[in-house]
Parts: sequence; structure tokens; C-alpha cells
Amino acid sequence: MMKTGRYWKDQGIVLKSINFGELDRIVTLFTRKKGKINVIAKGARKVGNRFGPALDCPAISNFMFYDGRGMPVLSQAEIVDCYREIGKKTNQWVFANYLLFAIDRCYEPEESDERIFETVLFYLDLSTKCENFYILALKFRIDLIRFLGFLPRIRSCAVCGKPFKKIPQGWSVASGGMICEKCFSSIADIHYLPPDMMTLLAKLMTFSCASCLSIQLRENQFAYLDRLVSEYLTYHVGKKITEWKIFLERFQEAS
Amino acid sequence: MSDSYPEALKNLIASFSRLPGVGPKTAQRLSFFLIKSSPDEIEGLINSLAEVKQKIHFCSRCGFYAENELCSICQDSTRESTIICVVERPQDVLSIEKTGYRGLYHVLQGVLSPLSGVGPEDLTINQLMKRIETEKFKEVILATNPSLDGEATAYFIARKLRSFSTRVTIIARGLPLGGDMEFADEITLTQAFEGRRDVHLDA
Repeated sequence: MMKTGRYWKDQGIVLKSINFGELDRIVTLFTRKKGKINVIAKGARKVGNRFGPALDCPAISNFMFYDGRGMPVLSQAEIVDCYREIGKKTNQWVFANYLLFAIDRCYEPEESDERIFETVLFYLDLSTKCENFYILALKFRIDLIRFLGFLPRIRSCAVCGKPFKKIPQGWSVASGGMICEKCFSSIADIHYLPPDMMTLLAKLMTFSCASCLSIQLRENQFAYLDRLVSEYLTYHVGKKITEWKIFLERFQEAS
Repeated sequence: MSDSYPEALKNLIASFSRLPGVGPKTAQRLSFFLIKSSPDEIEGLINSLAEVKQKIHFCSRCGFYAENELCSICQDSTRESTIICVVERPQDVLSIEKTGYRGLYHVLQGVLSPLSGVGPEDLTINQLMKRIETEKFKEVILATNPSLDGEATAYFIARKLRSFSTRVTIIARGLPLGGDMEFADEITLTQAFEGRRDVHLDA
């Protein structure tokens, strides 16, 4: 973030925007250096305004801000990529919106994380080349969990910390992962995690995104993991993170 | 708002403040103006507000503002009934009317937006499909806003219209009149180039 007097620059991605007054917009950005911020874009609703498509979700731009009396005022925007073509493919467009929705929910204002910024760019680019959105949505949320510092423990017990000698079957969202047989009875929210789900979860957590894309998931396996990951994220973030399947369902009709 | 204001004045200011684009200062100005207005003017305003709430609703066919079951556009038999223009909001109809367009309209009452939780069932897309089935249009013009959500909505509708033989068009995107090309962004310019057309000279 470069700051010169009351002006400063940062690269950001548009998470959402709402109309404000006659011609303005309040835009929520996730910026590289400053994290999630709300800024006011004056005149952004006028035809031929100076921001053009830079304020459409999920455009990425180099922004220039001015510190006014209230929230920062957006003074310039130079587009890096606005992913215009995704509007033509419903699933791709909904997936991009899902990334933004999850980021908006998981991060508090001015909580910056450059790794997640890069990750969003990576998934946005990948979504234009690969249409396996089920895996991408799972992997993205797991990456998000990692960056937020809540990655579940799968190689050792989430309660006592001892490494597993045999494959455990207890899963606890509140404790943060798999539970050994000894600690099984002491956990209130414990539930059974089938071994195949445990293996798939471990793969999704450890494999690179490219390797994950080769994982073959049956519909019921995806539905199980989709729910599991969303429940886990929702519990640790404290805000509802909708499952990808539910998020997509409403828009799938025409695809 | 000052605590010393009478309760009725506070209520009026609070009511004006709820209007879009009206802040507390403007709400106070409007309230003071009304206090000074004559009883006839106030009565006229009250009647207008009551009348608009009582009489104005959405046209049962196209979704534009109407006083009767059908709006003035749907009732006008001189309009081109084989062309329909799909817009996001009723206000968009008024803008397009200024262009001299003489076809019919369909107002979606919004735009698809996963982030705002607006899905196809929240818009009048199903009513549009029914109209296209029954009214035999030759052309459907998609005139949603040039935002990404607007375009996604247009393409969503276009895909639903694939099974019909109707011609589906989308309004041109590109440079606004009076603008300076130097300040145009590359996306707008790209779309302007994509939408270029032959130059037709008068004979």
C-alpha cells in the first residue's frame, strides 16, 4: 500500500457494492494490503463514469483512495482483470460469487491476508479454465480454513494431541478435527466420520489444487464433504457459510 | 435532530429521512418548507401520496407501473406487438421510451445476484417465458444493465429462450456519447470494437 498524504493506492477485488444516494455506490473491497474495506465511489452509477466495469464483482483493479472525513473515497480505478466472460456461463459466475461471499463472511473489516488475496485470484483464474466447481469449492474452503488458522487435525488427536496408531472414526467440529478412541467419550459434539470420507478429507487438505482436481467424487461423497466443510467453517468463523450445492442450486436451471 | 423540536416535527423529519437519498439535513429542510406551506398545498401533497399508494401497482402483463390492470403501454394497440424489450426495473422503461422504441416491455423487477440472495424465482422470468410462449414475439431484446450481474441475467434468460425460435438480441455495449476515448477503460473499448458495425452512408 503506497500512501502519499491523504491519497493511497492498493490493489483490490470487489466483494460487493450497494447503491448510495442518487449516483454513488458503497463498495466493499478486499485489498492486498489493507484487507476488507468499505469505500465510497462517487458518481459510480452514472453512464460513462470514470470507474467503468472496475466496480463489478469480481473485478480486480489498482485503486487510488482519498481519506475523506468518513469512509475512504475512491478516486481512480485501473482494471487488472474484470472476468467479464464469466457472466456468459452461469456456473462460473455463481462460483466467482461464492468465492466473494465466503471471503466477505470470513474476514472482518481491515483484516488483511495477502495469501488469501492471491488464492482468490488463483481460483478465479482456474475457474475460467476448469469447470469442476464441486472440487474447486471444497478446496477453496479448505484453503480458507488453513489461512484462518483453523485447519482440522487429522494425523493426531484434536484433544490429546497424540498421533493416531490406527484410522480414527470420531470427528469433532468444536475440538477441531479427528478424535482418538481414548478421548472419544469426553467430547460432546463427536460424530462418526466414515473412513472413505476421512481419506478424501485428508487428500483435499494435503494435495495441491491440481492434484485435487483428479479426485473422483461420487455425488453423495461430495454432498457429505460439502456439508462437513461448511459446518466446520461456520462454527469457527461464527457466521453461516452456505454449502456450495445450496448456493448453486437456485441458478442451475438454465445451465 | 434537536430534542427541543415538537414531537410532530420530529416524526416528520424521521419520515423524510427514510426516503432514499435524503439525509437528516435535507429532511429538516423539507419539513420546515412544509410547515410554511399553505393548507391547500399540504392537502394536495397528502392526496397525491394517498392516491399513488392506492392506485399505482405493477402491470399484470409487463410489470411496469399501472393504474389499471394493464399499463398504458400494454393497452396501446398501435405499438409493435412482435418485439419485447426485457429490462431490470420500471424506471428503465422510461429511459428506453425516450429513444422512440415502440415495442412492448417486460420488467424483471431486479437482477440475478447470488451475493444478495436474488434467484430466478425472485424475478419475473417465469412470467416472461409464459409471455413468449403465448404472445409469439419475433424478437426479444435483452436490455439489462451493463453490469456483470446484468449480463449474467441476460445470458441466463437467453439460455432459457434457446428452445424458442424467437430472435434474441442484447443491447450494444461500448463507449457513451460525449465521452473521451483517452479515458475509456480497455473492457469498454473491447466491447465497442466487438460491437462495431458497417458505416451506412446516405445515397
